Amino acid sequence: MTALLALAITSLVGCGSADTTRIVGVQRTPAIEVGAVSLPEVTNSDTGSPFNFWADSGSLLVVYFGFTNCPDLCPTTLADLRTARKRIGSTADIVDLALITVDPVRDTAEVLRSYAGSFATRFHVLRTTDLHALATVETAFLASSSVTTLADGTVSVSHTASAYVVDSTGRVLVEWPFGIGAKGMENDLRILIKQLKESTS
Amino acid sequence: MITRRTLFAAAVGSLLLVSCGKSSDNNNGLTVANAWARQSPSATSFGAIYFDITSKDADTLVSVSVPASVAKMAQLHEMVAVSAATDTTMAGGTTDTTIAGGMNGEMVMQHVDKIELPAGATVSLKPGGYHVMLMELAKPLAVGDTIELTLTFGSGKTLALKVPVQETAP
Ligand SMILES: [Cu+2]
Repeated sequence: MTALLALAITSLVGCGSADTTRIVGVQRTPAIEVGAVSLPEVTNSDTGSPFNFWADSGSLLVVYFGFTNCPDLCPTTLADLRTARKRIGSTADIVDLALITVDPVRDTAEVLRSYAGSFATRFHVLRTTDLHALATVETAFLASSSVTTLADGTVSVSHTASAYVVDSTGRVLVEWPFGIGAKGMENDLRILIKQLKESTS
Repeated sequence: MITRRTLFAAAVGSLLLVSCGKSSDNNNGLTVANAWARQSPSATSFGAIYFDITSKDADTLVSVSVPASVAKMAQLHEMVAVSAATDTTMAGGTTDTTIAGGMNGEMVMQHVDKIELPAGATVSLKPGGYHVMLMELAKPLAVGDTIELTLTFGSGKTLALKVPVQETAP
């Protein structure tokens, strides 16, 4: 599994030419299934209702674990996704976003909504203070995170920096390691949107 | 004696300097290019500045500062894989939560004392690597704003830059 992943990432780096028929993100065999897990969605209410990790029918769902006080990785990835969707145009309207906070103590529902709104018009923000529930979901995605208070009082947060594209059955179609960029996301989304259109027409 | 040729060369030189808007060289052997700060998303008081830097002589970038009207504090930071991170628990930190045990591509940010600048090599501060971290922003960074950033080097040199706020990297 690790070797396969390394191979996929190597081919990503080596992919200088514009082969627009090939996914540049990581595709695992077998694919990771995440439809069985859920977290409270706080997009429209602070109390939350269960959100399952699958896309609406005819849509794709991009899932990202992050936190709003993240200055580097999170805004880079979310801005790249915004750029990719903008470049694709209206066909990218079927691309939905689920943003999960790994720092629920500082990221309130209101903060999350405001933050996600900077990067997307269509989004779901997910938050739980039940760390067991968060761990279950992270494990399903093979992701992880931690929150540490340092000696000087600052809070250090670590998290898996990948984004995941999930289909309507809860299968992870593509995993985007950090650094794939707007170009890589655009390439993969165009392919996935085309495949989705073909399969439903 | 100033010849026509040297005047011409001087004119070309200044033209090059003017046309090269994204790069600044204070003739101190230091060149900075592609500097930018990310536009603030809503609801965050942290920011980051990136640039490419080249020093003619081997040097180190040791500190960074911005006016209080921009942020309370600026530091040099680096993103690292969790397995490679300095053990924060050893430094007296306490881990509040560890979720799912660090399996896949987990990264964390850490403060660095200095960034090595080998002679003549271009070192990039870029997303996923080094950045200038801005803490407690006085106000959100908006596209069109310019930040005055001062770099201090191990050699004692300093360099002042004007950094534009942008949506994405130049
Ligand atoms: Cu930082």
